[in-house]
Amino acid sequence: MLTWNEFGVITLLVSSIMVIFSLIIGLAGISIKLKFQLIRILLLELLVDKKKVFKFYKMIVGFWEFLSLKLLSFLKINKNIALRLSQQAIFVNFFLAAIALLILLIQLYTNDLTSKYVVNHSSDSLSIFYRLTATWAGSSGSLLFWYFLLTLFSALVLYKDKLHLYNRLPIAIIVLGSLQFLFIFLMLFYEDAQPFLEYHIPMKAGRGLNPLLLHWAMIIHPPILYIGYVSFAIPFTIYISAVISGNMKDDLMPLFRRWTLFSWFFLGFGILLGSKWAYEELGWGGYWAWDPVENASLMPFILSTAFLHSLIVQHHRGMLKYWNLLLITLTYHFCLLGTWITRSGVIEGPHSFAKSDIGLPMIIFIGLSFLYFVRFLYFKRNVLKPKDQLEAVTSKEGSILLNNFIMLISVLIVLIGVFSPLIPYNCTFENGFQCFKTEWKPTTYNKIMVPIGILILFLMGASPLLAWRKPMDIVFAKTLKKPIIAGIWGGIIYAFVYFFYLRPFVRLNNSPWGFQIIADIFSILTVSLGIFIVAGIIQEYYRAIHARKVRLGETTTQAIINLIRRNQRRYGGYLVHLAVVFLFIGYSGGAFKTEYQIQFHYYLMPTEAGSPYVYYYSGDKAYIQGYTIEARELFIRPYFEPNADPSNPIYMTVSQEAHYRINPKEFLPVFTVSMGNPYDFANQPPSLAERLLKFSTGFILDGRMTTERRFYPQVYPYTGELMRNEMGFGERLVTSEPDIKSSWTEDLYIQVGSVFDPIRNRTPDIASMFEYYYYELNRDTNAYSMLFPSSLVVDLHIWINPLVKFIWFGTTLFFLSGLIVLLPIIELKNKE
Amino acid sequence: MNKKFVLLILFILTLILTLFFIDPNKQTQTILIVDADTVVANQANFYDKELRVRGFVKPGSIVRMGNKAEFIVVHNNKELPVYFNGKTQIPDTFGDAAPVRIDGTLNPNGTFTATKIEAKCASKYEAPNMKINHDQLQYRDYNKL
Repeated sequence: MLTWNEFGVITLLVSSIMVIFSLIIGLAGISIKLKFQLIRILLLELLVDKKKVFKFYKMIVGFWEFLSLKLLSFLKINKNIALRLSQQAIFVNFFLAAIALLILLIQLYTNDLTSKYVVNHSSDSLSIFYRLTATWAGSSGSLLFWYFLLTLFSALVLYKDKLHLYNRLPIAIIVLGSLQFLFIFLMLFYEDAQPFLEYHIPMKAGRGLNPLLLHWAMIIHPPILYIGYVSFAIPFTIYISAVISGNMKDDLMPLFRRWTLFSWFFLGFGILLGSKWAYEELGWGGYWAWDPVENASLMPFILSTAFLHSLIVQHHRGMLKYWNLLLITLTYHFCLLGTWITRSGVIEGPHSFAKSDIGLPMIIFIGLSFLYFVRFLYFKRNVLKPKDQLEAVTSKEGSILLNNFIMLISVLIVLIGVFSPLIPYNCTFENGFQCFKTEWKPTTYNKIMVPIGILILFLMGASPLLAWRKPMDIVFAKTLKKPIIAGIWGGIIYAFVYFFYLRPFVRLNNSPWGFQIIADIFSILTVSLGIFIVAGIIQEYYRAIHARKVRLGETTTQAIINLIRRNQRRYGGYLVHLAVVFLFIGYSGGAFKTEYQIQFHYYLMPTEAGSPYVYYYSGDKAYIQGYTIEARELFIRPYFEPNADPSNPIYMTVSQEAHYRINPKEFLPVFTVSMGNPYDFANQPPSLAERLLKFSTGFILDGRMTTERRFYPQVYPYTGELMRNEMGFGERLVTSEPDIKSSWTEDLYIQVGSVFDPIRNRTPDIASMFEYYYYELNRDTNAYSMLFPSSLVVDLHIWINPLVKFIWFGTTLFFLSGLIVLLPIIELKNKE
Repeated sequence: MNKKFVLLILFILTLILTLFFIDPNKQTQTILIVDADTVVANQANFYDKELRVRGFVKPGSIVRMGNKAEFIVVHNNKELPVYFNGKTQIPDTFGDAAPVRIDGTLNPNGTFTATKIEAKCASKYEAPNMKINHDQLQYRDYNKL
């Protein structure tokens, strides 16, 4: 009887055979003309006499064709059937990948403790939901999920049989097959990528999911981002195959555009969700840190955004084909590079630390693939020549091209920043010649990316208002004048608000340029440009709606709906622009964010006999930037996952839960024994109305905010016990659970920090003490008063982050407007 | 290509680079990355430089005092005593044997004053300090069978 692990390995083996079969039969089935295109060598063509080169090519293609015909005659099929078979193999491979993924899911669901992956990333205490999502908690599971998505998308695009892609663009099968080959190769031969490694003897307990992943955004952020990364292989494959085959026909464009939009949408939304997770879960008061993994996803997103826009120019003016080939080739390879940065651990960052053995083969593949495909920019230069030339810099196409260039420059800058820790270019001659690796500071990125962002914002607003071919002065009065005036007035008003209301709160010089005035100017410029863009969008909508009302007699609502449905990409796209404006306004708030760290003094309070928690109380107050923060209860209490057995210490997470009251308006009585239980008293759940009020406006009726630090147990799988250090204390992983009071002007972000025993002058190991009290001393009343310090000093970290709510509003709008652009059901095809 | 267009791009590039090189406070844009053993071996090279030192926290060496801490960073058997001044948060993942990157400066007495600690976390949760020999042996043996 096969074990699940063996079954999984066999499935992967069959899958690899299927990929190789698809590749071989596909390579045999393609025409001589395509074979010739595939083997061209750039250096030879540049350096050697053409006649000799073609003779050489002829020889190779001849040999290849000879082998192909031998194979086909052996199989008794013709080339057309060979291509069909190659396509069928891709379909079959999708089912094989799905089976492999299903096996991993079954192992996670049943908590199969013979599986190395399950033991390291799951535990029987987790809810079913988190057990299943542990699929992407580790490297090998992620790669398997990635492989599954790739086979799914490959099958989907080739299934569009009415376009006969297998026959028209047979190279697509080969490009997709070779990428599938990379992933299956890694999963079979590299330990860090193998999802079905088995323990000879089943372990006693799983180590559980990384507690930082126990968050709703982290559960959907990785798959959404992966979908974005993986699916870019599809538009790239279609585009490059069409270029190589010389078969770029208009009927391919909708398919191609739809896939590009799909990938771009998922990549963008995935990044934004990642920010949300970082902000709510990591407890450092920020949402973006220019970390290599963040940068890895940002680069392909910027490139694909540039590509989407230059595609519009290609569609309308027949220009930028060459540029587009470059952009989609870069986007695809940056998606692969992003995977490499995240999964190889070669570039150190808070996300990725330990090195993985898949780094080398992956980067070799990416490098070779890039060199291979980038050659076609030279070989196909004549086919890709534009029909028209750029006539005016300030035309629509001019502004889009300029924005494209700036985006490409920004990617180049981020790329230099990401790779600077790998290249020892900082050399000195002090004490002999030595070279060191360096790393960019976040301020260095800000210094250069903020002005670039503002330029991009400006062009994003101007571009829709400009005309094709014509320079700006021709359309200025008609389209640009009003939004510009609105932007200037908005900027002036905001400048007053800024200097008289917001600026006095800026305690430190946060400006990456050294001069605060430059940061001030950029902040005002962002808001001013935001207003310019919004005014432009309103004007565009108003005109089109007005025209429909006059021409077709529609009501305003009808006109809006029909406008979007008939020009889905254009008017949906404007809404995406609107989302970007909100995102930028949110980001501009970072210029005047402030940070504090204060300490409150707590006293151990008596509580009921056998209490399952330890109760401290403070009552101290702090006054910060218009907020009164009153420290109240602090509990050390147990926290169990849904399926955990509370009698077993390996399942107990110790929580240090601190309650505060912000701007307390009225006197709240301190807990007394007659009120029952202090924990329930402090944790009276807010009503639904109160929660809604907090979510929408940031107003908390009773001012209560609660933040935690959780000490998750580290399990030793061989014995199924808690991991302990040489002193016998349990090893625990600490996570932060901040609380955020988010209003439209600013967020009050609080996170409880470390504790300190002022009498003994040391930091007590609260979690170990509590574990001892809870399990060994059976919550004894005398132990309660003797074991725990009679007083504690506890840190509270406070961040006041202006305008962050706009980022999450922008994220929601990005999601909704992205759907409008993307969903085919919204589009009305018949033209009036 | 249109000449005006090229000029415009050059102008924008110049503007961005000018902003990039404005540096009134003489702050460095980058931090030197060095391993703890390199710092210990060639201390003279690293005074007055902003450093990001890599290494592992020596188990049992952490003495925490509220948000401040003293500990020893080890790399290739060389030890660097570190004093963390509590200006930023100690990350949740900081603990015995954790791989860390600490930012700060080297003092003339050979100790290191850190202003920021980074420790391993999140997506690379591939069995920290669990890649032990038993683990490797278990499935290596199985493969032989």
